[in-house]
Amino acid sequence: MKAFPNLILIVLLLFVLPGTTLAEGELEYTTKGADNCLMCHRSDKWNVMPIFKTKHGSLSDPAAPSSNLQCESCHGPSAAHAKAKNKAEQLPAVSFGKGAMETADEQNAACQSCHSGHNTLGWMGSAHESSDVACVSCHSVHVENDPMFDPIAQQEVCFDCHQGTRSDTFKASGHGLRFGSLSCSDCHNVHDGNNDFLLTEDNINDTCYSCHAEKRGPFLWEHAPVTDDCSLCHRPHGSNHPALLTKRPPLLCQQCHSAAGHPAMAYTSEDIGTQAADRFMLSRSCMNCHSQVHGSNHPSGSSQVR
Amino acid sequence: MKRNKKYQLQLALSACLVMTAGNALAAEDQPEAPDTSNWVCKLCVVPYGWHGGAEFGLLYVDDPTPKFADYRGFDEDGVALDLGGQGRYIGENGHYLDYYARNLAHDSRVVDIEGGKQGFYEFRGSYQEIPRYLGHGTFTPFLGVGTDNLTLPSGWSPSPDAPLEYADLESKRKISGAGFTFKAFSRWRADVDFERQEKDGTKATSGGVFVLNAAHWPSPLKHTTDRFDASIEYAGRILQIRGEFMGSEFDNGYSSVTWENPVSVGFGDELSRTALEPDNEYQQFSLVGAIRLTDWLRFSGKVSSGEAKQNDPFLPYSVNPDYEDRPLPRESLNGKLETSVFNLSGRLLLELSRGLDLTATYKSSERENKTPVDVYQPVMFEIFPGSARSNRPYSYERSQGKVELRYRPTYRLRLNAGYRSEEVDRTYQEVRTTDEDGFFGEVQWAPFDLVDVRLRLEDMERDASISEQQGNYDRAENPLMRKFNMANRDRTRSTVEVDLYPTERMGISFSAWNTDDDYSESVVGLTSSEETAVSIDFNYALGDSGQVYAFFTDETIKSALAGADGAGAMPWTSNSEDSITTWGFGVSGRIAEKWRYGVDYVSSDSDGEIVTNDGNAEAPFPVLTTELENIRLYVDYEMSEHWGFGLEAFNESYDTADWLVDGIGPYTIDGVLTMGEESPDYDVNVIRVLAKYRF
Repeated sequence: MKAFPNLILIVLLLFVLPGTTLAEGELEYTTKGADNCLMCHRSDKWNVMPIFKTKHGSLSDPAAPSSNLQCESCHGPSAAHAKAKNKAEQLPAVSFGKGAMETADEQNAACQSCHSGHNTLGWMGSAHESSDVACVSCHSVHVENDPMFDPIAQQEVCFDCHQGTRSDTFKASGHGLRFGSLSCSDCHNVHDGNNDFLLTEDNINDTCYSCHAEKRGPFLWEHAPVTDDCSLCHRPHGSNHPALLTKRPPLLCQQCHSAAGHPAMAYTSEDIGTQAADRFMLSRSCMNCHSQVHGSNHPSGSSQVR
Repeated sequence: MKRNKKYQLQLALSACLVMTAGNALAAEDQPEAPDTSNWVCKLCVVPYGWHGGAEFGLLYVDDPTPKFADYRGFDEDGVALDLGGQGRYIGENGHYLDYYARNLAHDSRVVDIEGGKQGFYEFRGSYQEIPRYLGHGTFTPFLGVGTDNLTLPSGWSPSPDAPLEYADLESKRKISGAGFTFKAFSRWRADVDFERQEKDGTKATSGGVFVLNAAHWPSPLKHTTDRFDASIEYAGRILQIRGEFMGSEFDNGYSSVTWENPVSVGFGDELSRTALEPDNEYQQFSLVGAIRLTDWLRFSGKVSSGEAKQNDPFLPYSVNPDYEDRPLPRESLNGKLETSVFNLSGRLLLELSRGLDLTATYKSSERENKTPVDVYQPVMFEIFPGSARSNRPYSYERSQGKVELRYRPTYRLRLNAGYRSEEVDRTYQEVRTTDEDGFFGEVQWAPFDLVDVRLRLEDMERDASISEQQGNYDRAENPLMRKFNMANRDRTRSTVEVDLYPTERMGISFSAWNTDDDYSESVVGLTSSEETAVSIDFNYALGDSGQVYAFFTDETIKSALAGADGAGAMPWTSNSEDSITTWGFGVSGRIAEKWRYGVDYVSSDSDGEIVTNDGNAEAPFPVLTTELENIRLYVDYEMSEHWGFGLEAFNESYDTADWLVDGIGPYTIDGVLTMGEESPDYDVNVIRVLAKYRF
């Protein structure tokens, strides 16, 4: 154990020292800003001119990149690229996207130099940040309409990585994502690691209450798992079972309820057609009687039947 | 010993000096901002004025069903208008106005407007309707559907010949919002937003009556939720901080439904009453912030405190006049929840730009239920007094921690490893405390420019100490029952992702993940659960404006449950397995300069198998199946700079089999009056003809 502090120092030095070798060549800004860049990049091939239809292209907003260092606000000092004969070998100081040499952190630093507040305050340490997701992995800044601001187009961007969630949206019970009734960003703030699962609210239940405020309570007779975590019984992205349930009742309920009598009994296919089993198994199953599973405020509703 | 400490101090100081030197060097790399006075940007072409488009046309829907119309809103057979559009106005002085509209002529209409002066202020407004159609062949004998008083026709009795009326189970959510943002100075902003959600219609509800009988009936929906958000924020280069207030109020237009009992036994249960969700309100204050102390040390966090209240007047114990005077312990619940969140993340970058960094996160949150506890004397099924019960206001306290080390030895390799833990304390439940912790590791490797591989493994163990059990709160549950959300659990999660880019135009992604939960120490309850999914995506760019894509996902969700008819009784088991296969493909591109085309196809099939062994033999239930197929074809013609036309046709077929409802009519289950719901099937064609005007 005595060696532990020394070990920390050695590790620190090992990783600090190479840092001094990272100094890069001298960087210069172009002499004419965007006019230098657009000499080449205004052609349709580069498809960058639609940026002037967006907020980034504003010439009157003092905070917009086009009102400041123009292209180099984001791409960094790029005189060397502008002057180079072989421009593919001498890229701008910061390039973006799949083929870029910059890490996601380095690319994101350009965006965060302006977008450091608002809904990105919890970016550091978030799941997307620690997985090296770059802002441009999702956002398209040169196009007229960034798909992330369209409820239907947005989900296609998310599904590029979250492929299983695309499949969820086609399941029998869903939240209407594929029709644009809801978008991923209605429940998730993908920039904010302060909340559980990058949600828009602190936790799962508070996010659900944004639309389902009637479930918030507090009720006189609470149902414990409901107050804990909606996802114990529901799959929010889609399910094969009604009401986004994780499985069919009575099995859903029998995961937790085993009191002697009808909650504890095994119901099999052999029992279908018998009165003793049908009422507990068919139609709404346990909820044929216990319909108030989210909580009841009826003084006689302790069993959540009314 | 002292010499050692001195040596360590020297080493630490050396390290700091090296880091400081590195910082200075890094800072020197950044050239001073240039004089931009001669950057005239004459090639920057801002299209002042309006640009965007509008679409209008006709939509023909052939034989829609409630399930098809659910969320879409296309619920009527025949021709309907179709309107939408998106665009923007840009003024030379920074004024702008954005609009987005979709399905304006349908029940799923969406309108968003945002405008203002960029960089100074912004206003926004939105309106959306979400239609839900949940009745698939539903009937009811009740009169007064849509109100809080459901009666049966005179002389009605529960026999197969008794008359029934078709019951629409429909609701519509209308969401209206307005907001304003003011940016007084470059680093300050203030936001206020208001949203109202109204949900009206009917939904299926049910109620249990004596003895183990039940009735289903359409319950009225008249919900209004108002939400108000206000925040003020400072976003500097070093410090960003925001103060937030959120207030939400839920109002239910109906507090209860009184219904004539169709399966009454005649001892005072001719009438029953069910409580609907009570009004409630919630307020929360939050402080969110981030600070960059140095290039290598940053923090971010959030502190919030909230309070929820519910104080709707109680209903009497029973509508049975025999219990009219039964005294309640209080007139209303005076329910109160206090919530709090404290979240702090810190990051230490151990190298100046690339290399090693350490992130530590701590979060604690609490739901403290301060609702008063009283003894209630319920009346069971409106007939007889039940045993006294106290309410149990559940409280939770959660502490979560994570430490993650991220190392990037080369540009192409990133290694993450960390430790995670969570402790949950509960009140009024069988297990007071659960502790979960474990390690995770991740490798992201790009051996070539064309390949990106990511592997992630996580192993967590949750311990619910038996000695911490607080007693049996849930009515004589089997003592061997371990509720899965607070049972001992071993969880293993693994993910493999491979992205291939064989050419600049082609991308292939493969991913597979598995979550395996083992509750083998639970004798009764959930004993295991496993989810596995494999996905493949393919993309190929056709020219500058076309693409070919395909996707495939195969998912399996398995779980095993053990039960016993009573303490010491013969154990039984049940295994569930859901298998879902979704695949699709599409092509889009240009036929000629003015023609665009596209084809999209999706198929999603699922099977749900349940096999229960009652201790004597395995007996599988019929398989639950869902088959969805959607094919869409479209052609766009750009007639001129401003005008274009579009033709779209799609077919969607949906076929389900659900043994829990299929063939179960309102009177099929003896003692349970259902609404006779059937699992939905449909085959619907839609044709859309649109004129598109672009300006």
